[in-house]
Amino acid sequence: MTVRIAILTLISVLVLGGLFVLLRPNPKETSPGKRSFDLEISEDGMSPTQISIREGDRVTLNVTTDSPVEMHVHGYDLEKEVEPGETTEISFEADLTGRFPIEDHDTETELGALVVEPR
Amino acid sequence: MNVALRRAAAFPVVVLWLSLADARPALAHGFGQRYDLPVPLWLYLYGAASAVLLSFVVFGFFIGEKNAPGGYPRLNLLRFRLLRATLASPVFVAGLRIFSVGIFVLIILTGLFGDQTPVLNFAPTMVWVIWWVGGSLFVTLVGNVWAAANPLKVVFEWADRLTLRLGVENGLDPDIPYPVSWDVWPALALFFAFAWVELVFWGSATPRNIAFLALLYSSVTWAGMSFFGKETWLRRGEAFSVFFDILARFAPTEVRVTGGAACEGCDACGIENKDVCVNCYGCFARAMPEHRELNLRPPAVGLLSSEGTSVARVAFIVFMLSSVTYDGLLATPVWVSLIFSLQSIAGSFGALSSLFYGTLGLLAVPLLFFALYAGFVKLCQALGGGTGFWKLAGSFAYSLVPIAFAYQAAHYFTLLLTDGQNIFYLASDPFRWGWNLFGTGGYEPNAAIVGAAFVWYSQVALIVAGHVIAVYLAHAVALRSAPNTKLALRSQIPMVALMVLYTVTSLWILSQPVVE
Repeated sequence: MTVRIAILTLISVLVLGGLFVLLRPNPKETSPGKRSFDLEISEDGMSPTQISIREGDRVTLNVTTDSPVEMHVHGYDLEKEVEPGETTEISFEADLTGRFPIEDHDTETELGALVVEPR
Repeated sequence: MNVALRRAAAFPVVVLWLSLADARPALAHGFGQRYDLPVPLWLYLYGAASAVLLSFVVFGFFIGEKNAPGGYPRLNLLRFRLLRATLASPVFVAGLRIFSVGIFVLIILTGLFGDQTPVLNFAPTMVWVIWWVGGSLFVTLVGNVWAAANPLKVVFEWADRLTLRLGVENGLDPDIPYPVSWDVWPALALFFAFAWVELVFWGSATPRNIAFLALLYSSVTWAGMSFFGKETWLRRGEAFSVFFDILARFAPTEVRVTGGAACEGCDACGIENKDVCVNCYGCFARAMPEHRELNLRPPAVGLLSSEGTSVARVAFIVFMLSSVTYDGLLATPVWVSLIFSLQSIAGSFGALSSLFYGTLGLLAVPLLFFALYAGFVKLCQALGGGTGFWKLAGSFAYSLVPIAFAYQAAHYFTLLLTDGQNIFYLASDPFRWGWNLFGTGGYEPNAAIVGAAFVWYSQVALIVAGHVIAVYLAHAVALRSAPNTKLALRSQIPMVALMVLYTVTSLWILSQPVVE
């Protein structure tokens, strides 16, 4: 019985380990970089709706809007008043991974999301 | 609840006849907000492949095995003086009960009189995050603390003692016999209502609603207890006692009464073996101290005992399994587009639409589960021969519990780790009246406590582990019920196929992007 358990465990570990190595994509060798996005806020939300970056990137958002907005990035808890007719710059380092909704605090509506993939 | 809350943001409407309180959507940092990323495709496939492979390993483990695992090793914690002096001391037990009632009263008071913003009020975080998510995890992984400290039971006992002291004959002891045919149907009906509030009702995070609903549920419970007797209602009508009792079968601890007359006249235990009763809290409370055991045991063995598996109980377990899945399913793109197309065919009725389709789903998904489950059990029965359908359905239902629990844990542990932190500032200022009782009023939750990669790996690991335990349990059950080993193994094929299906569904939901 003990021998059988040992053999079964060994086979499981080998097969599962092998499968893991086989399926896992090669970690990208790229090092964290500078990323910059132009965001337009309108009645329909944010364009682009989603900002996708990787952990560790230095991000700059250049935000323009057609009406005053109090922009809030959840998780990172960034908050900024954005006025029409000017470009508001928001910079941060992407040290949290996950999907963080971006919201207009004045109207409590969701504009879009910031997606930070683990590196 | 998360989904219900999102819907709250989508349908800021007048509350209809239910008008318990204003259903103002969660503000600022939404209550129940999570930042999880969907599990990547390759990891989803890896989890699914592992589940299938390991199912064969469990098969291999059982080949040639003649006997079903019978007893299991136990270690009575009350044998150690230190543990006996703490865990079994009247002071500890009384303290736990008073603490539990205190929390219950605080939930009601903060719900009624505190700030009505969900994240700034004690009640929503305490009920949904700490009690519901945290409590379920605790009961499953440690032991049935709900049975020991259920505040509704404690309050009832106090009231009972008071009426006796006031000279009322028999106190709150009833003389109405509980109708046998009711079985655990009242508990299932109430659990359905709870699941509806959690998953469908958009006002589930509003403090005042929580207080009202908790009071409503308490009244039903106290009425049930005073009509039919405390223990009868706890075993058949009190949804959470029935629910936590099923989860506690997984727990690595049990309460056991050996010898003595405590179990006599108890309809819940001693059916097969008159001398022993396990996890019957009424008997445990009545037993003499020398007959009580608080045992450590291997996890999940409690799910092997299949006594008391009536039709109603099978229905309860299947509803439990499916409501967990429904919770996750609600936020998947597939489900959302299904509801959209239903709305375009059958029509949308404004604010009521989400309630209608949500309720429809909460009925349809469990029925689908039940049909699927019954079909697979029929196949097992046909291949294995012997045992009756409902007995088989009952014992296999318990063996599916680890998969449901693993999904629940994978789905919610990040909520407990992030939103659970809110309890630190809420404990200091439960009403949002500017108090700072413990000096933690200014605590700022750390959203970065777990990274996405860690979450992915632990989710998949949890689900695969739950699957392996479930397959193991199902095998052990089959060995007990089938006439011989060969038939037992053969009868297992459909059940393992069902388990793979259930597990892969869980993994698939975790790999889906969450729809806002």
